Amino acid sequence: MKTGNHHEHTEDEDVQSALQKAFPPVNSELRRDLWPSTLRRLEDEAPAERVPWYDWALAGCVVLAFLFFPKFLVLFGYHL
Amino acid sequence: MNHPYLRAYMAGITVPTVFLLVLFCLVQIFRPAGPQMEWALVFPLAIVPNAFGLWNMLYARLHPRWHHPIGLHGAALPFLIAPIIYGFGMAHGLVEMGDHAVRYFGFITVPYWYLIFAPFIGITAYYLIWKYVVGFLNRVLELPS
Repeated sequence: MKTGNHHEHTEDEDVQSALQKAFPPVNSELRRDLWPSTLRRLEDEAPAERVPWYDWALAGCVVLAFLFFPKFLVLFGYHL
Repeated sequence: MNHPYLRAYMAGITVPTVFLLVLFCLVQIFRPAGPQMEWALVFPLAIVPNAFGLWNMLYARLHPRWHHPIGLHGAALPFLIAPIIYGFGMAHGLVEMGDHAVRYFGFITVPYWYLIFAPFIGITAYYLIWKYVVGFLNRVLELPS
């Protein structure tokens, strides 16, 4: 029995060493830094950027111009 | 994602394609001015969306070097489009210069003083459209905005 166990144990070791020779050790290090992509995802989930006051003012001017002088719509629609 | 210029072109043409389609429908409903006006709109319908697409491709190309704001990039486009379409209109008799006003399509008269303010309104509208709408579409398609 003892001899049989020893024989099996030796076979296991042989298989293990053969496998280790056949397959190179796995590189457990990360291939790239994951932090930038995580940071990018966090930034994507950040609240939408606020519209500055001057853009509101410009939008108001354009809307008022179109409301009070509708012929600007003709110029805008045809030329742009 | 690959093909950045194709994505830039697609993001660019979206806004004018939708806007001009709505404009064309409104013209058909409220101003049935006959085939002349339909024909007059064909040129802007062909030129403007392509100009937006190509201009956005140019933005995608230049942005890595210049980092210029997309709103200002879009605000420069009227300087290119407006003279081309004005020249086309003049050449085909769709736009006529009168004593006190410009006549569009033979029946819409626009006083000359409008032309003083019109460039500012056009540039402002383009700035806002490019900053907020085209910029949003660029972000969706993972392009610079």
